[in-house]
Amino acid sequence: MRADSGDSVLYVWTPRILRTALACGAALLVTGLCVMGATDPGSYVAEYRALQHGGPAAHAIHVGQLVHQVAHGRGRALLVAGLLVLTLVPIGRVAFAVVVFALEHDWVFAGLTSLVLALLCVGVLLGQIG
Amino acid sequence: MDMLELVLLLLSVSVIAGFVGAVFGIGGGVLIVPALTLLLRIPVRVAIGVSLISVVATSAGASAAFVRDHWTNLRIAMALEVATVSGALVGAALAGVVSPRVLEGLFALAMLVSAVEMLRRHERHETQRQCDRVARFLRLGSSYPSESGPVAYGVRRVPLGAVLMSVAGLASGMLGIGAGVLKVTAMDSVMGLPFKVSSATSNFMIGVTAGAGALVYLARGDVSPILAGPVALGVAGGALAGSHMLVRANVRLLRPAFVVLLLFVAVEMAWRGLRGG
Repeated sequence: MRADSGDSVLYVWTPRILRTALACGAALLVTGLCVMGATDPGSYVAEYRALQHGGPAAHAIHVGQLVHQVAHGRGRALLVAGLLVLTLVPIGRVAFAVVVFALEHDWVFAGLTSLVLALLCVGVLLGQIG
Repeated sequence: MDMLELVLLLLSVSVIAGFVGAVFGIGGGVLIVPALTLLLRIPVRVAIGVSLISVVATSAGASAAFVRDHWTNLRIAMALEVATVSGALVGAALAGVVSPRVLEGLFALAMLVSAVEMLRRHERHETQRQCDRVARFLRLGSSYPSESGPVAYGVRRVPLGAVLMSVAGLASGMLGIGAGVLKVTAMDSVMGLPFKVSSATSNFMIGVTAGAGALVYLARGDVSPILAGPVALGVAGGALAGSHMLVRANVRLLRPAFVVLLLFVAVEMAWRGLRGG
């Protein structure tokens, strides 16, 4: 298996993708917490208290709105962006694997990884329905 | 309590959960959900959503080195992810409709399974060399590094492994855990993989499995960013420190005490489920 060039590419690049995305997500989370602490610490505490009493965990995410708020340095939006980056890490590495297997004409694994990618997209739809 | 105190409290609890979970090889998710619900009085469904994000972060950090060093079998991981992701989606969807009491009861059961598995955990030392027909077709056989050069190993019973993986995925999506205990058991005991390869491959798969569940929770609005931010940072940081400690420390002596702690928390969760929060 290790002799296959496609697999070798995956063994080299997958750890890099994972580490880079993890660092980006963590940086966004730390920045978000710092900005919230500096600008609106009261809302953090209020939201935490509300959660303990059964308040809503979050609101639906609108990508356009999120990008706009991140660009304006809103703490909560930076936190949400950090969480999105972390959640998208595994999707990114599956998408990368699809491309590598397709380029290597390894159609069985290109199919299997595409199916995983499709299932992950179904996850977003399931959440929006539920 | 002001924001700084709250963030420090969440970070401390998460670092401890990540550290202890990594040292004992069961992952932070099994500990962070009861810590959030029992200690910090966070509703169980919110705690599960938060935990899933921290499991994704921990897996990304921990699995990178195993992949680089060729301990992870990427082809097995990617073949079995079809099963784990399907299970995780069903689990996450079910968690949205099942009552919190049932979730707490099931979580207590998952902790019980983890405790029992910790007690009976042992490493097989013989390495299986042959692949069966399905494994040969998928070219799943590989090798792991050793001081005397790469050691080849074979793979068998892939379909049965896939069935167990879908159960692990279901538990992950429903309860916010990595379900690594189930994944390692499926690969080690059923598919005949070497223990460390099973462990590294499970660690890698956990990211996508938990990611699938996390997407459902995120899209449903069940992930609180103010909780998930510090908890993900804390659990991932604690797990990183714990995995370094694991190399040096002999944790066998501490294992019985930890099993007792797991059983105690499992009873607490079950009791909470029975009396309704």
